[in-house]
Amino acid sequence: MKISADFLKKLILIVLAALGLEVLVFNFRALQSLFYREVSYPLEECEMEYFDEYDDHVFKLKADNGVMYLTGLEEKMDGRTLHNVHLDISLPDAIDMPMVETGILTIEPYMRDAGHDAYARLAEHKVRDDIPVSKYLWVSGAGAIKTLTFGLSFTNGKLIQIHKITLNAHQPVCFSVWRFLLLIVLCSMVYGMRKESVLWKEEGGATVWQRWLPAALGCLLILPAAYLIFQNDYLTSSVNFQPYHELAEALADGRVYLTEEVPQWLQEMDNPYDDTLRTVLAEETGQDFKWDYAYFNGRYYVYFGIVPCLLFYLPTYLMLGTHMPNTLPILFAAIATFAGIFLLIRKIARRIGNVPYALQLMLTVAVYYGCQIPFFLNQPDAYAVPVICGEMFTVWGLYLWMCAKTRKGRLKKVLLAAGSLCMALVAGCRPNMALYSFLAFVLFADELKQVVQGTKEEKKCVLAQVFCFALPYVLVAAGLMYYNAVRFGSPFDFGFAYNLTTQDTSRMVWSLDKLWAGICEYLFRLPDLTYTFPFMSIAGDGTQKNLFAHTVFQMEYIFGGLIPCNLILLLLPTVFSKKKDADAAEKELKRFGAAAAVIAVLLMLLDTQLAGVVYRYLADFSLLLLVAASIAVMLCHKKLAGTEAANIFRCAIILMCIASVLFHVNFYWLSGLKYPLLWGNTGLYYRIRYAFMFW
Amino acid sequence: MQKMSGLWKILLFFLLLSTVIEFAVFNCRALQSMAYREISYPAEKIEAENADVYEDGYYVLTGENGRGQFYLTDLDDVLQGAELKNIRVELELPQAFDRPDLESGVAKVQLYVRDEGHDRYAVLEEQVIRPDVEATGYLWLDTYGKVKTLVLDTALSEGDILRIKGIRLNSGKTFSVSPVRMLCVFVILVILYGLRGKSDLWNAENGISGRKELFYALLLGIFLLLPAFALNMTNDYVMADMHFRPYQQLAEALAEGRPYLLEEPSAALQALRNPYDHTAREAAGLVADADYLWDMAYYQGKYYVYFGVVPCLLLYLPWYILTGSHIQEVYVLLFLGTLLYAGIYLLCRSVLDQSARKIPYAFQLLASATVFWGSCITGCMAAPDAHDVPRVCGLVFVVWGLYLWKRSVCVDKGNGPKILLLVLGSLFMALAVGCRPNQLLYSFAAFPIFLPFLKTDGTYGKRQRNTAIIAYAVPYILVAAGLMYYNMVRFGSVTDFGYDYNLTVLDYTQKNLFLDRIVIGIYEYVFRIPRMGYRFPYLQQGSFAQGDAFGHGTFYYTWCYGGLLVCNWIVWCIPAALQRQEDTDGTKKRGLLQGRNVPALCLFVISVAELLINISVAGVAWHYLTDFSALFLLVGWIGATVLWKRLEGTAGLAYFRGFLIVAASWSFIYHSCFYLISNLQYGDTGAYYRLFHTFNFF
Repeated sequence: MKISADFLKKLILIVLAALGLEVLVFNFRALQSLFYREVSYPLEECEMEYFDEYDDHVFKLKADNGVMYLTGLEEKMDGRTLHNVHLDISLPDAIDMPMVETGILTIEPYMRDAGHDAYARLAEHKVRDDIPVSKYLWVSGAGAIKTLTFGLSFTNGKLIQIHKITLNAHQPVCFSVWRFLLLIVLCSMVYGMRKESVLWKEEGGATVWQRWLPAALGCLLILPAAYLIFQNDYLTSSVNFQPYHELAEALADGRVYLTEEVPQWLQEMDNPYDDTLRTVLAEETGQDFKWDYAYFNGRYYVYFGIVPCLLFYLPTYLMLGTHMPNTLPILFAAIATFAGIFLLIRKIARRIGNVPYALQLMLTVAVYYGCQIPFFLNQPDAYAVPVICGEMFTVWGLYLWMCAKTRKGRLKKVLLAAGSLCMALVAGCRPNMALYSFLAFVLFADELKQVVQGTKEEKKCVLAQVFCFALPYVLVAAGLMYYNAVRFGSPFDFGFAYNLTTQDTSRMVWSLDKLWAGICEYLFRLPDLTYTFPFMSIAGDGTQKNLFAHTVFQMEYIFGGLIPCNLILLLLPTVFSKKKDADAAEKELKRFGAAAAVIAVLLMLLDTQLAGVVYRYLADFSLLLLVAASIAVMLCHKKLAGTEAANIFRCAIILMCIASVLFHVNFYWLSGLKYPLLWGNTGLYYRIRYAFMFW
Repeated sequence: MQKMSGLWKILLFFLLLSTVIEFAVFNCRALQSMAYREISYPAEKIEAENADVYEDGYYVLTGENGRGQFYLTDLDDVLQGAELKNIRVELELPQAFDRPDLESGVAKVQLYVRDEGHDRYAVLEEQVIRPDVEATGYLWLDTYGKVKTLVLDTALSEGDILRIKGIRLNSGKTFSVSPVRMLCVFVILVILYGLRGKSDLWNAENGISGRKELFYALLLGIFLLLPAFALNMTNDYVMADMHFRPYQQLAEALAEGRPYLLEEPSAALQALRNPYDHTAREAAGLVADADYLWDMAYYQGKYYVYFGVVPCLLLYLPWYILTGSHIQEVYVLLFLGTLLYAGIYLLCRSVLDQSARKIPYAFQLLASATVFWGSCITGCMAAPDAHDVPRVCGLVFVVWGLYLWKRSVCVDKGNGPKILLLVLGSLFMALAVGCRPNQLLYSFAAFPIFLPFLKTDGTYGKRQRNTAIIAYAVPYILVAAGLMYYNMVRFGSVTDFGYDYNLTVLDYTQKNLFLDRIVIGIYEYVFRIPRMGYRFPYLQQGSFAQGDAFGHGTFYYTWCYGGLLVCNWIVWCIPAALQRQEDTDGTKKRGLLQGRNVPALCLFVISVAELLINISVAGVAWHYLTDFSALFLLVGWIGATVLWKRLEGTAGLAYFRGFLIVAASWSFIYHSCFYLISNLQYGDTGAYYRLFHTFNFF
């Protein structure tokens, strides 16, 4: 491949910009400290309280916490300002342990300066042996600093060896290759998104590099998540809740119920779904029950959709005799969903016409991020599997259905059947998402009209298409109904009501509280972002499940509602607007977008009433809301093309997508939930932390 | 005439619609309960625990923390198979009395429910019953099947005696028509109608007559200010003399001819080596307000007020001298809020008219409202505090000063500025410095405004120029002389406003500027996302800005609610105001300032400087936004006018109009919440819970 001089020049510029940022911004502390005169703090003057001292300045903690005093700093600095302290220490017995924050020395700094005679407390600082930059403590006193006191505590181990303490130390330049690569990518994106970029002028796919862009984008979004998953010991070794593994074992044995025996006390309960009594009895008898499984007629069942088990877990178990970790189907589904979203957006863009490639790519990222996949990759457990598989099948089903339509008005039967199969399989993952199948009536409205208005030959042709459309549904439905019937005696009973969880799901409570809370949380909850790593915390208090004091219901943390975190949804109302001069494709897409939005909202309301308010349930409806919003964005772009407004609109969409990325990217390192990276790989977590918290 | 009759029809329709909404939506519980069969729960069946029973339903609560439990058992039998939907608890609290500083006259009830889904009690959130607010007596339940037992775990705000007059199950709720709520719905409907795309308000060509404009301006003023007046009138908390009262103390001192306060600093404080060190004061056992005056300037054995003296000279001192009593902050801030609205309206009209001729009147209305809200005045009026007085007063002077300056230059070419307006403008801008010294920066806005008069290209005569310069400078000189004298007699320096001698959380005599506070300050002031919930009062106080979040140093910080970019979307239009505009022939001008809106650029630079100065000198506190937010929004609206002009005649105009409406609506929702988080809950508990149930109608 021939590389032009112009391309090379641009590439060098991008690399130089990234290099400049890496050295001048992310290492500015190193540059700042270049001008300092280092002062060595005599180790014999360093007072250690609650420590036993050994040779070579090795200290052993003899209480829960120890204290280090650095006194007489004013004299040692000789009138100069103290800016930092370098603690050249090592933690000899701080070995890495799984499933806990490990190898960390926590320092609580207290400072006596001209403005604080009785100590000012600063935020705690974490030191890890293998992260040199963590050993530099930057301080800014109110006037001259007299004394620094460090409260010391260890996550594990008790030993600390002090090699040297330096005041106003020169912090070395820490060149992070990963950060540098990320900066190159970001600079390239900035370059690619500028107004004059070829990506804004073409529909894409014209050149080889353009065709590879989506794959590169997919790698950029999914590979870091995959890396963090496989580096997280917590996920690879200690996930207890494995319903799909148990289901695979049961199915391999030719059973639909689990092998585990149900305790006698549970079988004797009048209402085994009442958690308040169940918990008491479990404690009294000392016999535990299987949490979050369906219990029916003396047997445990898995109420999660069976399709992921049949596709991933059962074949693996049968072929290898071992279980597939949940992370693999989730990663597979994430990749497939990304590809499906890109193809669907591209398909819609082609039908609209003149949609720039940059916009298609941005919308792909916005939809992919917005449909909770970053969250599932942070929490890749069994709960995520059916939901993400439901999303995967939905997006591919819709794409295949759209592909099945030809310009001649005929439908490609194979694609139609494949689309139907995907949409039918959705019901086997998340039954409620099967509602999206009704979109077929909108997509194939013209074909359906032919059944009534067409000629005999047309009707015959349509009937064949109807057959191709319906056959996968019939087959999948037959399988699912049989599965339901043998489990719960009814072909329509998916077993959700028999769940042993926090609330009695066998009794449905319809409540205005739930509806209001659900709408507010799912759509409008503002995220809680902050300026300290990991930059996001759980908005609100997940325990406020009966805020109006009328009822109790299942409510977990919600990180952010769909609208504030996916601002492109603000354009969604435009799909409901009517335009007289719209062409057939535009009208059809608007109808499709509007129907998708209506079904999604309906699903949201059903979810709040039937299940509660849980972040992962957002995925049930976010995907289609975002696809509808993408249609709105592309139609608006087409409408404004060539006017003064086009550039403003372009800027607005870029800003909206950046806001979406800034919110969702935090899921990569978010802690505070199950399987935190902080516990699964403390070293990696703190390396990421210090890569961002560079000052 | 036909048009008028059409308008009346629409208003009548909205009135009907708001009535329907009032009955069908806000009284949904009353409608719902119409189908219930009410059952009185027998008083003798109430089982009390931790409560002594007396005759006539009187109980004395004896449990821990003054709590008592009332068991309603056998509900299944009492209800005869019906499901329990609500209970009506009629209470009497004989010992209750209204206090101005605490939530009072209430019983707090926590419900425990045993139903078919919860054999071991489900716990519901605590609810408040206030006997004089009927809606609080209805406790609604959505239970898991039939209810077996209910427990009312009760505590009282005052005393320990309560009387249960009756408990009714599935009680029919009476319809409650709230005129306030109906008015709100009506006003919102009218506003939405007025802002629809086809409205005359969006038609720039139509213009608007003077009388009509006055009418609209007054209506808008009432809409913006009425809630603050209404909420404060019955709020004893803001009326009571229990707060920080520096201006009142300063008025007393000035009336006696002294710049320092009458109160003598304690010997213990005077004995401290560094009295400004909060940690040292605490270590010495000194208690704020008992052993020393918190948040006052202490200098050489005397207490001073470090707040700007101008509000005291203009409002507090005359009032004290004339009446012998003190004026409350609430009246001062309501008065200043009214002046601020008028100033913002006039300034917006003047600035936007100049920025782009023939803009729709809706712009003027939306701009005035959002700039007013964005100045954080709603929070200041809802919870009046002496700290807000100098800031708001300074802003009022800045806004009026800028307006008068702009008006003074509205003259035909060749004529000099109108001297009287110029003098008044300069006087106001100078007085702003006497309120908040950092607002001196806004005086630099004079340069772009008066730049044409300073040019020596022959357009203006030397005499005109000199007159303008003198008219500009004299008020500054006079006010500066007064302020310098005031500073001199207090702190021995003409430029020392005494800010450093403040007895507060940090020692301001020690300067400590570092990167953290800049990062944190910019985040808090510009980017912070507010914490909003779905239950009254909807806005939650954000966590304290983490002033030492990075562990490098300490500085002054207090809670923040929301940043400018997040809560005032119009600020997103600022880049358009700062962009170089194309000439009529489509070419862009060269030079740094050529083709740019210099006043907008100047205001923006000043506002950014104000923001950074506030962060560097003072710290991070939500109230400091008043110093710069309104001017940011004004620049945002200038940008909006630029965009509007660019989009005229294109399909994008409708989208942009939609954006402006959504931006203004969000601004309204966010800033209105400040009225709801006021201290009304303490100052007038009854009114608070009436308001609570007006919004929490289900």
